[in-house]
This record gives sequence, C-alpha cells and structure tokens, in this order.
Amino acid sequence: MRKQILTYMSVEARRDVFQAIADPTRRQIINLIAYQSMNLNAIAENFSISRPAVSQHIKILMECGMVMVRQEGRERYCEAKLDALKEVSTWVDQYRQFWNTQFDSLDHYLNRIQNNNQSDQ
Amino acid sequence: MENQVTPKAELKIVRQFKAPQSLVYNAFASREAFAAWWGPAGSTLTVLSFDFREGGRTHYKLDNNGLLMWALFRYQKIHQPDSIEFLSSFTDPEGNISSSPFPIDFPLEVHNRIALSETNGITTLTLHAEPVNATPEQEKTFADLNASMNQGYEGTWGQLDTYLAEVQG
Repeated sequence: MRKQILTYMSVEARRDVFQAIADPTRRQIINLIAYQSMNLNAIAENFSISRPAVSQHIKILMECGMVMVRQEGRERYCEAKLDALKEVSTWVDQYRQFWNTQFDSLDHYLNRIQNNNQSDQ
Repeated sequence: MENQVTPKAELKIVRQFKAPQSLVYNAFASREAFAAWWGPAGSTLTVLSFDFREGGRTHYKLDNNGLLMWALFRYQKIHQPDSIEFLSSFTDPEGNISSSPFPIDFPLEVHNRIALSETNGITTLTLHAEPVNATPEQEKTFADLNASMNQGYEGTWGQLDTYLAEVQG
C-alpha cells in the first residue's frame, strides 16, 4: 500500500488509469463510450469545450490505456478499454488497504510495548 | 445534476490483537501511544495537536521522503473502553479540510467507528468506515465508475459487438 500511495503521489506526468480518471471531462468521455464506441465528432458534441481540447483528452486516455482508436473508413472510432478500470480499486479498497497497514503497525506497537513491560518486571 | 441513488461505499474490517482491550483503546486515546504507531512505516509522523475527547480534534502531518500531507480526526462519540467514532479528512497545513492529495476522488470526510471487545486476552477490533460529505462530483464519480464497470463486465461487450456490426454493416 505504501508503495501504491507513493505512486499516486508522484508528481511526474503519469499515464495510467488514475491519471485518466483524475479529470472530470475524461471521466465523462469514458462514460460516454463505455456503452458504445463513438467517433470524435460525436464525442465532442457532448462537451462545451473545443474539439481540439476533447481530442487532447482522448489522446491522454489513449496513453493511459483507457481508449483505443480504430480507423473505420474515414471515421476514427474511440472505444473504451474498460479492462483498465480493474486497476482502479474503489475508494473502499483503497481505504481498506490504508487501515490494514495501520493495523499492522498497531500490532507491532502492541507487541513491542508488551514485551518491554514484561522485561521491566 | 440529476438526483440519483448512489450506492453507498462502506468498509468493515475486523482485526484481532494479542493485547488487552485497555491497551488497544489507549493506542488511540493517548497522544504518546498514538504517536508511536500511527502512520505508515517509513514516514515521519508529527502530531500537531491531540485532543481525544468528544468534539476534540487531532491534527497530524506525515512526511514521506519529503512528500507532505496533513490529516485531521474529529472525535464524535467516545465510549471508553469499547468504542470510538471520528471523522477523518485530509487538510491543508493549517488544518482546513481539503481534498485528497491523491489524484483519485476520495470523499472529503470519512466517518470511522472503532469497536473493541476482549476475550481471553485477545482484543477484537471492528472498524466501520463510510464516506460522508462527499461532493456531488465525488459521489457521481463513484456511481459512474461502478456503472461503467458493471456495464462493462455484464454484457456491454455483447452490445458493443452488435453496435459495431451495425455501424460497419
């Protein structure tokens, strides 16, 4: 878990699923195409931001492994790679790992002070 | 944003410790004890304030190789020696509640309830945790991700195949 947290906190530009879902627009894009693949224009119509801005988000999603773009004739279809979401544990899983780490530490602490008390007696 | 029923995220952990209940309780209740174990190993914990009583606040800093984060406990109900309820949240250095330092949506505050019981020198600790005061954005993220994943794993591939067959047909 510790390593995982550090990975999350890394400041360098990451290209993973966490980076993908860190942005609300990208989350919306994933949700849009989770149900059906769409071409860029169709996706962009759902947003007030510019088409190049949407395109940029899709590029990041591709780099994060969340979206695959397929050329179909003259159209490019964006397809969600939902398998990548397996990497995202829900908040519950994150928090469970956090507490389990804390409880490991508590366990060590309790053993330590009880051993100390015994050797004092 | 439309009203929607958000699936509740809840967490329950049960752990057993080879120690008397009073000692486990004290690990949360005493500043000295808390400082001795809280925080992931490898990070330096600084307890900035500690006030273990109902309505009290404990504010601490974690330094993990220069990566700093601050967090706060706000104790709600304390029933010595068997239950502790508190809200936990990330904060800025001054102790104001802030969003998670991680680039994934965490609830702003989490309600934690720790229940203790002892049998034959073994203390059983049960933790219940659930997000509170999540922003609509955060709640939507949970719901959306769940929906995407459920949809994705429960037949969307079939729908997608049909759709692709249609658009390519």
